[in-house]
Amino acid sequence: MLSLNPWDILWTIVNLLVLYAIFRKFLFQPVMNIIHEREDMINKQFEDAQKQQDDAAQMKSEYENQLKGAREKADQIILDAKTRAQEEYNNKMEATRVEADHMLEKAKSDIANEQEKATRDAQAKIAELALLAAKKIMKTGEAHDAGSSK
Amino acid sequence: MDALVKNLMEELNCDTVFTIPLFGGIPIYESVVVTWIIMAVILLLCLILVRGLRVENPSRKQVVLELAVSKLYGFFEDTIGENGKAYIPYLAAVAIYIGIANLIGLLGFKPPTKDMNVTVALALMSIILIEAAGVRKKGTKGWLKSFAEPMPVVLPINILEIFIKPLSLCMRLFGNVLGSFVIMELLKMVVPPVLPAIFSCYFDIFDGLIQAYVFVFLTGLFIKEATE
Repeated sequence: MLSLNPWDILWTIVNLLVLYAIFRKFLFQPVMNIIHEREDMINKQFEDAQKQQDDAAQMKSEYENQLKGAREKADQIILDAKTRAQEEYNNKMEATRVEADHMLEKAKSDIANEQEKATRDAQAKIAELALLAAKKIMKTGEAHDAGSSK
Repeated sequence: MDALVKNLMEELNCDTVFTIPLFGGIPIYESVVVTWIIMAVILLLCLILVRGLRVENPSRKQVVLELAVSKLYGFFEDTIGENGKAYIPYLAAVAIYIGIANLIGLLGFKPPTKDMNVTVALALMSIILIEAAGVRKKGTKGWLKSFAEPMPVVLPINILEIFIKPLSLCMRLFGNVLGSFVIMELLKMVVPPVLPAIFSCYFDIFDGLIQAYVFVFLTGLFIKEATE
């Protein structure tokens, strides 16, 4: 139709506005809402995944640190044990040597004592023998004297 | 030949379907009734399509629907720019409406876009939207100032544009629909059996959709211009 009619234009404008409202209310809004909700959900999932990854990385580094600490501790313990064993060994050796020295000393002194004792015994024996001999000589001399005086 | 002219004129004429007995009689034209039919179908389709939308595990129907809507939005976003996002639903609605209105002739209805009053109304809405977008973005002062940009010499041209833009929008759409209609009628008379069907593919379907696209594309472009 080529002629203009205000009512027709007005009706068309009303129709367009209603049509716009229909599209907006019943098509675009629901669909866009769903799309946005899904986007939010996906973003949240990504964030969660990122967070979990971060947590895991942190835990991993923590464990690594702990492991490193444990290894150092183990090394330390072994080192300590070695040192203590060495000390113990040294102490034992020292003690043993001291004891051996003691025993040697004692043996030496024993021998010396024994020697002295033997010497003393011998001297005593000799003195006794000398006394005996002297006695015998004296006895013989008395007899001699008695004989001669008779 | 007279018969053809008469026939064409009759086809071009938009009958008054009925009159509402208010304010001395409000005539309801054929184009308005056909628009109501389109609206009813769209409303029904929307209600059916939107039913049972889910965020997770969407059905195949929903995936297609979402894809279509987001593609439509994406297309308009490219045209209208960041500032005009709020006007996308209107442009999309108009695009779908004009598209259906141009194609509905295939079903035997009289296309509403063949009524110049409809294209005038569409163009009026477009220019109001364009200028309103400009006012909303720049404020009344900024909007008024924008007529003297880039230099004051172009002021008359810019003012003229307020009338030229809707006029060209309106006449382009109406002229295309009318022209393709007249050509189709002539073709049907001259080479009746098969050829019109082939040309109909171009004039009714392709041209109809192209005009819907051009109309909203230009409106979007103007809005972008106004909001920059």
